Amino acid sequence: MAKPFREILKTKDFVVTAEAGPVKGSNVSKAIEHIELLKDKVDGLNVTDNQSSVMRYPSLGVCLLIKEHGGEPVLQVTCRDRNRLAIQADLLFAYSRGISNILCLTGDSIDVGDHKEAKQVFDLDSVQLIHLVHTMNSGKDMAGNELDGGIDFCIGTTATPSADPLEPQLIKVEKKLKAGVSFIQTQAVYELDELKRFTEFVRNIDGKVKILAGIVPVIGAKMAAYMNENVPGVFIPQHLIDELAQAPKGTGVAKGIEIAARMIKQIKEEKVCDGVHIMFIGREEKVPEILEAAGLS
Amino acid sequence: MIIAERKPMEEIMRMLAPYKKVLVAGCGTCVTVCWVGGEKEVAILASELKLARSAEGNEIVTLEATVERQCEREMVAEIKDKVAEVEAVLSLACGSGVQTMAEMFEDKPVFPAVNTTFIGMPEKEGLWVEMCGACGDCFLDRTGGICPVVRCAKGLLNGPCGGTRKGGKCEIDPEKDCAWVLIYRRLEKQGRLDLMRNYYPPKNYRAVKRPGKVQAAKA
Amino acid sequence: METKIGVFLCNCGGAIKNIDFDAVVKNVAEFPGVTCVNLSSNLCLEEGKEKMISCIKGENIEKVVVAACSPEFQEHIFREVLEKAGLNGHLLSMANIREQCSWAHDGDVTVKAVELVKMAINRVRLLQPVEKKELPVNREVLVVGGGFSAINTALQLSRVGLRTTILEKETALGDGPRELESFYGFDTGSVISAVEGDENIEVLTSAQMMTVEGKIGDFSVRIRKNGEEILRKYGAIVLATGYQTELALDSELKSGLNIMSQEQFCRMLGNSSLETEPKSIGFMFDFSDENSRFPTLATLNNALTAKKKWGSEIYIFYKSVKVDSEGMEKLYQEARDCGVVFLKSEVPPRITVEDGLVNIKAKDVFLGEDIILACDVLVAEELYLPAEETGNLSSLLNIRRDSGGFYQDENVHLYPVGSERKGIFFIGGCRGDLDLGRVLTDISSVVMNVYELLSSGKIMVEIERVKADPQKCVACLTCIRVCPHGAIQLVRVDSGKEVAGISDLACYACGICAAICPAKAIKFQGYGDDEILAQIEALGESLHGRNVAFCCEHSAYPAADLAGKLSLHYPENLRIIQVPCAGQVDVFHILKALEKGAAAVLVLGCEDGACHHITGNTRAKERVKYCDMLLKEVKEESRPVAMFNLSPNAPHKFVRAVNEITKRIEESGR
Repeated sequence: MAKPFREILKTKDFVVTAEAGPVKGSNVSKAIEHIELLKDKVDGLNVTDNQSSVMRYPSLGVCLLIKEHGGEPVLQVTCRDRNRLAIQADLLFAYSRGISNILCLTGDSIDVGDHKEAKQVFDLDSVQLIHLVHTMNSGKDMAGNELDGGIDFCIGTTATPSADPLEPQLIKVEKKLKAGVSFIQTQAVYELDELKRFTEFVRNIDGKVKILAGIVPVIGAKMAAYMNENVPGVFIPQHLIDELAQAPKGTGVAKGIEIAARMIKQIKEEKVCDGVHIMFIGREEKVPEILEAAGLS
Repeated sequence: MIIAERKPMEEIMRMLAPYKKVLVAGCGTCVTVCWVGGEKEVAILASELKLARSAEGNEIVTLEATVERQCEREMVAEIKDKVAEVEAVLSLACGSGVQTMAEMFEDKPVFPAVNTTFIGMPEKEGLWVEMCGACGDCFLDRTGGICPVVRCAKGLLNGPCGGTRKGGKCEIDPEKDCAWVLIYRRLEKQGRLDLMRNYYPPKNYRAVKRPGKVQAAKA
Repeated sequence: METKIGVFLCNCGGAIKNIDFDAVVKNVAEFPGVTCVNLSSNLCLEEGKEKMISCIKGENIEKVVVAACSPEFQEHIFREVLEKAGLNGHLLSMANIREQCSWAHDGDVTVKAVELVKMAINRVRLLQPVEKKELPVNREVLVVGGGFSAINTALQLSRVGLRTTILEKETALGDGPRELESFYGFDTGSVISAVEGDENIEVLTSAQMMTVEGKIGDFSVRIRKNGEEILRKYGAIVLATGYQTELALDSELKSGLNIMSQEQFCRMLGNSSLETEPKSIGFMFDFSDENSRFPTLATLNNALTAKKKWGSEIYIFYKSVKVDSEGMEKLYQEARDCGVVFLKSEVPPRITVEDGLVNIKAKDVFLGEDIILACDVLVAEELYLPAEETGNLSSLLNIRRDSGGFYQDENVHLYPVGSERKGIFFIGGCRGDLDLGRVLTDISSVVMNVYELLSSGKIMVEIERVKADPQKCVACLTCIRVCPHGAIQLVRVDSGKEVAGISDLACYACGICAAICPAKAIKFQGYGDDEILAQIEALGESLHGRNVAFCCEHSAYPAADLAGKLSLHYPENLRIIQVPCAGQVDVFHILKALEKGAAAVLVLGCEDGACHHITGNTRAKERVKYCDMLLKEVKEESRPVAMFNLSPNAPHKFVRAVNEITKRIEESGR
């Protein structure tokens, strides 16, 4: 039985979380494979929610599986697909089944996904969602009604340290901190200085929140260039692109893992922040390699 | 004002396929200003229809009329004689105009030739951009006069989202500005960034219960 | 009551041989409204004209069609005839049965001649009188700027009796660059005294233009001077705001006591209390900008002056020396004779500063080796840029600039000193023209233009030739934004409503506004939608075998005439409709022609960058593209719509265009 994430955050020096992405379909065998592989190696296992606006097996479903297999799930909830009623109902259900960690996100827009004509809900935004969880944590729903059986979630959210321009993003991070979050899992970072500046900014407002740096291995120079151009909030510096370009053919994945591990080591050694959140969607089976290379297993 | 865009010709042709005599009806207000449904466009569309149907070997006869405001029963009534002569009406007005026409002439099929898209203004000659979503709960006082409901692609009240692209462009369309970056810049210029630091609770999406109705308070 | 139309045919002294005029007369006489048809052999001569006048008077003719040579040639003559006969000169429509009919095709062209006359008759029926009136104009001129160009312009304007205001933003006149005074023998100082003493000239210093409204003859200018606002009115505005320079060097090098601009060097030369005279001086020019006449002149002049004054060693680094101005070759020779050293290199020299000296390193083309010189002073190459306020003034006045940011738009019809708006002119450095000799000539040009416009205090204009109907106008602001000549403003009419108001003084009658008006509210006498439609419909059923060509009166129409004069033949089934500008042809006109049965539609306008109305040909191109796309959508590609650009002296291009379309129709098997 895994230790509650909430407690790990309070006590452990360097927290490690990873992400598992559900498949498109009701076949949960792969999910279970990933859960078995990772559940004991990480402190918390996030499950994405219709990531990139592509319809998939729900985050809630895989979180239940994680629970069943003895892991510690972090339920990712976006505001894109559900209105406030649906979200509140889902949280009641999740909590009743032992899930007690939530990551609050706005969500990608419908246009990047595969159901491009769907209605975007966005009844709430991520800040409002954080407030919502607090309200429910205190025993009431959004309309002020008493709950017969409340919830108690450990609340986290995301942030984008490489946003350009950065100031508007920071204003939003401040709002999230003021609303009250226990942990932040950032978007992918590749530059320590950027991460350090971000951490300093957060610490000035909230000394207790745990910051987990987002680690997304890049497996080739072309992928890096593509991400720089097309993935908002990601900036891979030229020297890393060069390093990737020089890697011999066929060794891209290994190089990506090497770079990621190197970053994790540095973050840990220099105590830049409180841990890392590893996102290697589609290659979840490689996450243990990263952990090993970073000396975290 | 209300901005509309002409429907693809193919769609219009499909709508009018069974009819041989049609009135092409324009509106002299919003759709004239956005170059889509005024007297000029009525004449052009009528020509296009005639050419297209002639090419198919299925000739069509068109009448033309432009009403000052198609969303006014009295003004629409002025063209009733022309409507009486035709089998169907093709309206270039916004949805409000089309429906008024349809209501006034219930025995005639009335078809929309344009897609009503948004309330907007001309950024420059020939280019209209969305400004207002008619949400019924105006937020502009808190965002320096920039609407987050329609100019933010996700309608966030506590923006921006994490997806802002380099240089302050929107996650969804790199040609569009991130509304929240615009709001930030505007409020910064006015020394009112504290407005952006406030937490804004979830929006009342039922401010206007569709179908909307507004009763003037005084006669 | 049917309008009484008189048709006058001319066989040009018998020169038109391939038209059966009897048949034409017989045919034409049948048309509704045609009261009389006359055939003459010399309509444009006194005898012919007299006969025309008596016929018009005798038969109470109300509108006139003349079927003869090209209107480009004789239209004004026949308008005068109408006036003499008591009719408004605009009630005339001409059918070009000579250059564009008889001379353009082989064999008998009677059928075409009849159709052309029919088109003219249909059109003339709709023509309305256009009155002429003299409108008063303000005779005062505003000159913006206070340098060489501005003050000389003001002086010359004063000499022709026009009161002028010089508006200078600095505290004194003549503050600008004065590099070449000695070369040209100018003395700005004395010119300034002359200006200050001239009672026709008002000098406003520390003053700036805030807003400009109105048009030629009536510009309202808000000026801010010393914190106060003054409102003034002028008949014309001349911009002489000059230029600025930037050293063409890396930023670390720019600020150095011994690296300077030409102007700074001039001041050094003129500094009587200079402590140390530089022993060695380097100059650089022609690397960044091939348009280097002015820098070359400045360099040669200053180098020579320095050599004579200080005897310093002088090294000039250049890419090429162009001596294409009066006196330059002599100056160059003199410099060489004096011992100035010229060093040619392909790329700009590398500059470093060390121990108070400027090191210049360049690979000399002739020696094939690097030369390194340490000079006391380097007069560096400069980039010539528009003055700071150029952009702002351009927006205030609603005028375009060229790609370098200088006035004016790169349209050849505006050169040398004009803008696309009547009454606004440019002179000197603000146009990118730094050659003072040429500037002086241009000043005469400006003065002449302004004098012509304003001296009599009134301008004869056509009244309401183009007019926006206040009832139909929805104030969408499209025409105001689109008018290339800034001639339209929002005006309030009696009902209090704001509508588009087209200024008769400022309008160029191009028709671009009429074409784009989404409410069809703008009436353009003679070239409106109705008049164009009338010409198309005149052809009736026969339109099915015809290609319709909308020909711009500045380019394609004269080109077509020239084709006729040179007997360059093209297919006879072409029917030309003259338009004042290709930009006046709208999608509406093209589609109507096709709807009524035309086999193809051509739109012909001026070459790119040479539209008399700046944006007309570009707009036409977009519209033709739209029609083309539409035709493909409705599967009517066999009826081509195409745009061609040509100049008035390119008859071959005209013929080629017509032939191309004919070929396309044949190939599509229609």
